[in-house]
Amino acid sequence: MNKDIAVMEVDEGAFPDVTTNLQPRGIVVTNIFRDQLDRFGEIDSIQALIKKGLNALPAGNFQIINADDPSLASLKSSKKIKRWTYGLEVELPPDDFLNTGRDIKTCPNCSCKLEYAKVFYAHIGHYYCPFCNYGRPEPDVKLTRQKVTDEGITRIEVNLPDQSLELEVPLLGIYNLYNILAAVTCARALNIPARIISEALKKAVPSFGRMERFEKNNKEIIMALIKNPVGANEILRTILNQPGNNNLVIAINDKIADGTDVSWLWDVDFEQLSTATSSFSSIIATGLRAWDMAVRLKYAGFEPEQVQVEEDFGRAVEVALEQTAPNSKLFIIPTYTAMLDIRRHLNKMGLGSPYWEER
Amino acid sequence: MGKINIYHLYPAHLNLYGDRGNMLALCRRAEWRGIDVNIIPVNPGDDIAFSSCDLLFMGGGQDSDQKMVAEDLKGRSRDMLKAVEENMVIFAVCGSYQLLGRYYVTARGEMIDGLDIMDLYTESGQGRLIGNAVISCPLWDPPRTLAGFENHGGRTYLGPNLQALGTVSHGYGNNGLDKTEGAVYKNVIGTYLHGSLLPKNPWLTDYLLQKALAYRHQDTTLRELDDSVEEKAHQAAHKLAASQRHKK
Repeated sequence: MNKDIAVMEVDEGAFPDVTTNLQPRGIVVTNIFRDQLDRFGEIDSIQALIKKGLNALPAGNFQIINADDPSLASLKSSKKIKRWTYGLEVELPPDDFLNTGRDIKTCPNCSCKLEYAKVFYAHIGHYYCPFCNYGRPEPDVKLTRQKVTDEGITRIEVNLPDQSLELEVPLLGIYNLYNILAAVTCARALNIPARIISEALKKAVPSFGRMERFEKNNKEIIMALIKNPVGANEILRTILNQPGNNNLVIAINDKIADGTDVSWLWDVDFEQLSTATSSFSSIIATGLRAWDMAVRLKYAGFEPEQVQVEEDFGRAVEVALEQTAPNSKLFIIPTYTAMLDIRRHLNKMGLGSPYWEER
Repeated sequence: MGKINIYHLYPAHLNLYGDRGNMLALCRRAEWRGIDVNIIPVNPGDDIAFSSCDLLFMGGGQDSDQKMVAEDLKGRSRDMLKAVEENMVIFAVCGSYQLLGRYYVTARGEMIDGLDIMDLYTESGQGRLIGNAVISCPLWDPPRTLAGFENHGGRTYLGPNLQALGTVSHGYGNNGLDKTEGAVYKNVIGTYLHGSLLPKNPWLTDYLLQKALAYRHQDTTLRELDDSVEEKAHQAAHKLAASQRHKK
């Protein structure tokens, strides 16, 4: 392949070995959440794996760290590594679900309870320890303004150490603000000119399963991957804001790539579905863990007859589409392997193309 | 109708594996029977009025949280033990279950004193015991199954007179060796199973509610509920645990 740079998403478990063997130019660490728990045990051990990987980075290269995640700011390489940090410096509506998914609660230095001047979501925000001097480092790259246009374009201002950039990105959600910042910081660390950064971001498309859109008989299908309580809460919040008489399929698998432990479903605020004024006209649970999902919704306040269970993905999508009125939307929120299966069914229906053919 | 005071211990610190599901199951199933549930969250340093507590729920935590909790609880262990001897109900999952024992040796070799409420001890072992699990539980005659998910580095060993919560049919249980899972002493139940455990094992939820009602000499009759959704989830979890598909 005739390319200059390879970008790889690396699993925490493989991270130390991959870094040792590949000797990358740079490493970006975005956040630590609990969806990896069933494979790696506790957050402490995930942090240890990341530290090990960072220490395998050759001297002279760079690491990029989310300053707003309290579990990451303490990660420093022992060698001569240029460290970049990024963070949000904006006012956002308060997070109503503070108690779900706050996976990191104590100071990594002294184990006291962390305090926050601002919480953006879960444990991500402007934190400080009231007892020792641990706190959020002043970020090198800051997002200082953000506004979403009616067309769903996010306009942002990013301050780099030497200049300020006005950027436009067709992505939504707070988690995407962090993704954008990580990308801009990495591009800056690689000395990519601002003009190219700006053009590339304008062309960004939602990646595989992150609010992907399909259309069938005037019905819009929107698929958004869920894999942990924090992400799922954000997705639910986003889709509940969509006007219209919409339908919902929740597809839960528990294969290795999904996370084999489904107890995280209990930390997702599905209560917001049953209490919302504009809820869905039908909800179908599907997947290997369809019945766990049905129980979750029952205890979130739904009557059992309000939730249909169709263990088979193809059948679930067919039924849901039949029940969706023209000009309405069908939201599908699957775990990872459930998404692969559903995609296959959508492909069979002539929607989208298999992911290995895209881009 | 009846009334139950549920004390929820350290909800901000002990909530690792969907423990919210256990609380929801207890509350909903009581509410559906018209039983009044009063939840009292207990934070580190708060007083616990054991005289008004009917059911104490303790969830799972990480090693670092557990140490803090152990220190905070130490001063109350006598009051707690007294209430336990009088039949107060405790349901403890994972890290909290370990805390109810004599001691716990962490992965770093550090020894944490337990509350000494159950005759058991825990030692950190090589690798974590992770996966779907099913046990056969003799709290009912004939025994009923409990299906959940376990994820623990500690190996727990029961003293000679302590009853296990059940016998392992699928999974590892207390230590991966002796086929025991969890422990029962009077109305105290400790277990490694989460998933969440109570929602898809509604008979265990009802057992805890009945014991809590009996503790305050209230009527323990619970109206039958339609548990067909819970039972299907239980059966599906049982089948998945038996399938071995996650085993290497």
